[in-house]
Amino acid sequence: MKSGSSLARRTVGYLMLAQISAFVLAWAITLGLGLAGVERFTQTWDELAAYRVANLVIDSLKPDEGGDIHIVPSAQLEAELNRISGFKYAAFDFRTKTPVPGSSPELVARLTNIIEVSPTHAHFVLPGDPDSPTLGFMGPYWTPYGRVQVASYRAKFRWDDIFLSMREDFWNFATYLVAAALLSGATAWFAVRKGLTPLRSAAAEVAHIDMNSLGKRLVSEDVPVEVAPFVDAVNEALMRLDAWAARQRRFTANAAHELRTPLAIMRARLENAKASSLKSELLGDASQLRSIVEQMLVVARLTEGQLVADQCVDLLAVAGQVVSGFLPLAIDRDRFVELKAERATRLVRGNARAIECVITNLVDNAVRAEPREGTVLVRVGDSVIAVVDHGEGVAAADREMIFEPFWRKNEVSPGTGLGLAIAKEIVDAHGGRIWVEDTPGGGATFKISLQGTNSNWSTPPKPN
Amino acid sequence: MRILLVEDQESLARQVVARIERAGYAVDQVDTIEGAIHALDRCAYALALLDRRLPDGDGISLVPRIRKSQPDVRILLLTALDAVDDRIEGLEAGADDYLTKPFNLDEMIARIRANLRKRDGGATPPVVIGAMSFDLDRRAVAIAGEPVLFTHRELILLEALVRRANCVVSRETLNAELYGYGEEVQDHALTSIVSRLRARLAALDAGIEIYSARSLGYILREAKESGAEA
Repeated sequence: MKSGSSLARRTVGYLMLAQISAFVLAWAITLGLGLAGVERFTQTWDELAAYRVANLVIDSLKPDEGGDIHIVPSAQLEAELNRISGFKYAAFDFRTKTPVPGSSPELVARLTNIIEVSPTHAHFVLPGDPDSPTLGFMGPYWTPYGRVQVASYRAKFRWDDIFLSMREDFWNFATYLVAAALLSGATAWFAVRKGLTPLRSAAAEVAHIDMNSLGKRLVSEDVPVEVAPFVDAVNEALMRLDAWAARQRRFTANAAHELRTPLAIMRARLENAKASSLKSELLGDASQLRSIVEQMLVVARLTEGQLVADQCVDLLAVAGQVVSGFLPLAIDRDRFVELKAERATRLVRGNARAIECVITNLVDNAVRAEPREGTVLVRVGDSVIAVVDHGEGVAAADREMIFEPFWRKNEVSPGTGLGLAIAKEIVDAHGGRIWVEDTPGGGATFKISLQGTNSNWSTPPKPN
Repeated sequence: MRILLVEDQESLARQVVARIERAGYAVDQVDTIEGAIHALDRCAYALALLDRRLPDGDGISLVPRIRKSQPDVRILLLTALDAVDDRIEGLEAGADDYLTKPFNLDEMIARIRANLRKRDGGATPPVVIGAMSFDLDRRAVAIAGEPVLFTHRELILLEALVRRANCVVSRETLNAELYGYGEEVQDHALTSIVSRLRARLAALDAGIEIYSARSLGYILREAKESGAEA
């Protein structure tokens, strides 16, 4: 599955964007309030120019041979002087509080007293100018030549001052901004991860759901309300699937059940018929049909939970029943079925009827494959049962395929291709294995291995 | 000997009736509990075959009524193959035996014979297989109409196999019939009696064959006509 973008990363990204926007917005609001003259925010457009002009002054600081700095107006500062009449500037060494040569003498005169107290921000007007609005600004700046108090007077606003002064403020608040961004980012990431934990555990639950566990539902109590609709939708989908699967199972079970009666009647009719080769052939067919129908029913009931697969089953007794039931038919058809018990554990875990159905199916197939006058051997070993015929056998390439539903070697091969597939399904439900081998000397040997029972098995063996 | 069959599946009932009649028993078939009660008022039966699912109720409810009106009737319940609980219920309700559906008719006849064994009242019909006729009441054998004598053990063995003709009869069952339960039995003793019996039947041209199913038991059947299937 293609994975989409990370929710955590996106949330953090949005938050960062929000932080920056909040800064710009707050700055603009502050400016607006200041321009509107709201008491504590009061400022003028020209005040914004102070940062730019101060930087022009700083760029114009040049040291002489002795290492003392002078203001040598740069081209830009000159341009500013030409643009604005009455524009003045000054600089003071922050430490020695002495004016830098090249400063405006009027400003030096006005500010000498103020410099003494090392103000971090000063507003002033020159004598003769009206008190308001404020025309002069001074503040300390870091320069390549140490800290310097830079003052400007009658600087004029330019549109790029908005950006420049905002940038200046941004740097002033950088630590706060970075800290806020980092913290809120980390919080968002944590919140998203933490908030999605129930979803991850729900995903783990979903991963374990298959056809046999459609009845499961996701726990939606711990899931955040934002995700709850999704979990509910999954649960509803599961419910629909479960209902559908149950309907299918019921249909199969009902179909198989309905088929039983006509099959039983057909068989009874045949049994009453006069002995003939046709009768025995038809009885053989009826028995195959019956074995498939019974297997279908068993599968449906195993999945419905109506049959439990954890009884203690005597494999030999079940095999004996199957062989006993099959012998008259096999003899009719000039074949024989023989049961052979090896000394071994023959108690297995499973459902007697299900196992009986599978063995019946295998014996039925084997009797069909067995050449005339041959003997099908049913061998019960250590939790394993083998059904041995001496027919054509199964080609090595087809040995996996024969257990696939509806698989047939070709169009003309007999059979429905259903019996072995259902047999496999039943064996799988028992946690066992079914496979086919060569019979030495020719033919097929089908084997089923099942789980043996523990020695401390508590359920008494099923009476047979 | 009369048998009552309570079964509502018409086609199946017809086949069952045909098979029972072929075995020599008289049989009445009804398809409801009500019909069964009427029949029980009119006739005396040796055995009743009850289906459980009937249009007017569970066949099991008939068991106490039958026991009350005709205490000697043997009752066989016909139950679904996978309903283990049904069998237990049936036996608890007082039925003598059960047959699981779908059953095979030979098996059904064998069960009927087993349940009607050692019973007074009415002659048990003889079992005819091949050229042999076996009178279960008198334990008399005739082959091609001629009475034939067997040794005591051969006769017991033959009867046990004939009762369950066409079905595998386990070695345990045969040993129990021959020697009684709990006795120390030499397994090869059974084998040698079987082979003696087999030889006798072959010599008499009885048209009967006894197959041995290893580790299971024996199965007695009508011999196949040689060349019939060639």
